[in-house]
Amino acid sequence: MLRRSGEVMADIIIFPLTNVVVFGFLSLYLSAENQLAGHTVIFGMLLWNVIWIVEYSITLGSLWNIWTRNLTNLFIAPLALSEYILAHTLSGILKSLIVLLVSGILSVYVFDFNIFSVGFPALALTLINFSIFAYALGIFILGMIFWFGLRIQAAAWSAVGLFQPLCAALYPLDVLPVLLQKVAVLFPATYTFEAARFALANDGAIAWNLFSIAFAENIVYAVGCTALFVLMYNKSRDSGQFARNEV
Amino acid sequence: MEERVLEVSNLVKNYGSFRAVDGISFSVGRGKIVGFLGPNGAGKTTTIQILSGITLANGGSVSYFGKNFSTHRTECLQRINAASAFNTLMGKISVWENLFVFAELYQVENPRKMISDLLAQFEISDLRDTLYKDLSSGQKTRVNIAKSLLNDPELLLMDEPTASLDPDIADKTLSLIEQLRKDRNLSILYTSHNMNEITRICDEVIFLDHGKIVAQDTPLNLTKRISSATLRVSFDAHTLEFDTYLREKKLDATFPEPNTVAILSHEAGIPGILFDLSKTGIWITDIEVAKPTLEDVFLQIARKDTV
Repeated sequence: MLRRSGEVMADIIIFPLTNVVVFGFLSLYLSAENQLAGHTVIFGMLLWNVIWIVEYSITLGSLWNIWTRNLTNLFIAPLALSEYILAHTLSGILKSLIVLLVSGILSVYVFDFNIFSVGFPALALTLINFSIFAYALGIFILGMIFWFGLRIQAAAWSAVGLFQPLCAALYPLDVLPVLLQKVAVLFPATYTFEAARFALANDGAIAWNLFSIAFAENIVYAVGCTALFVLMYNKSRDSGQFARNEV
Repeated sequence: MEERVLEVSNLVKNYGSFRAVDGISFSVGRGKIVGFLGPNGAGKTTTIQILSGITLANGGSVSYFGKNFSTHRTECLQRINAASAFNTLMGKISVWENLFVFAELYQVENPRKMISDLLAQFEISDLRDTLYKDLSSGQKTRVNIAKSLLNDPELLLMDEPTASLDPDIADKTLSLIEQLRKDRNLSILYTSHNMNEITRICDEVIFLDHGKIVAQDTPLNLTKRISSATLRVSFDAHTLEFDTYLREKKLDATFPEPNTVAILSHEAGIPGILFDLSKTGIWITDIEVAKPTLEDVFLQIARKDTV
């Protein structure tokens, strides 16, 4: 479907790549004064795309099924809810890795920044943490859409954007005002970005303490959001909203 | 004893304080087509949604093949399927790709052969590479029904499958359903607003109103519950002459056209009327008896008359 859908192509390939290009040039500009600051910006954007694409795949993948009135067909097939969500999550992770690879290579040649220079261990830990966070966000938003219906469908592509400034994706955490820093630490992505930037600034060194906090928070988020998703899914089946979403 | 593929017992569904389904019980036997009828808001769609597992009931139970649906969900879904005019497949992938996805979900043993066979059976093999969104309504219906047969189901839930089809395609679809029942001994729970369809294909009809079953019988027996029929007589005489006869016999009649009278009577009284007419000397040119139809039964129920 991906190759035949201009909307999906734009959202998960063109839009993220455009962001990388824009922030790539910004990083070139900033790097003239402070190379680490410049690299922090493009590094943050490359990684942010992972969260965006995984979350988008989970929520928009289901919305496409609702829009085409095909979701009911899937749910009256012998398909477990966990299999359905897992399929969308794995598909999102795969798409995000492809986009990361393409945009990573692009940034090496065009913006003089090599994301792979942080090393495989740090990059892998970062991607695992972001994938879990994006999964948690995705199923929470999807649960809300199931429960409240298509009137809140815009959350599928907009809600994740609220986390970009709060999680300090493009700058160090201490840039945020103290009050927002207290909010930011509630999100595992904040620690993951801090850990990734630490690896960037220290030749791939792994900040185990930051990754550990991020991972612990991610587990809480994943378990909590999964439970909330199941609750909202059942609420939507109880209220009849699940079936009405396709009417 | 008839084998039951679906058994619904005391099913209840509330939406807040509104009771959409009010303790209904019914069953579908193997190889039987059961029609599910009722005015809008009667609870048909809610019941079908509960039977499909996409809406939760507040009470009662649903069993497929003797197994409780809520505790054997996957096992039951593997043996049933559904087709609805209100659900479609993914528009931006081809007919073949859509069917292949569902064949995989139903773990069809030889999906390529099954899809090819179904496409051939439904005479849509030439559409296999066409994007679903580019199909006509009739073609989409055939693809939807092909999808619903991928797992060789024992029971099919069909929710107005012919809605929005032109009469020719609707007729072909009904013929196809009749053939499927004959070939596969398929059981079908069939909802429709088209009474002729229901009369044509259903062995049994369930009428729902305000969430309750208000009538359940064969289409023929249901129509027999309305005892009146209309005797339409065309005659070659002066209308006044006939009017005198009608007054004399105190018959309930109207003259829809000149030289044609429509007499409303109990079915049992019609032979007597015809006998009396033969003695009047009025020249009768045509006689037609309009018996009650399922639509009349439906209208009586919808208008709260007693059936």
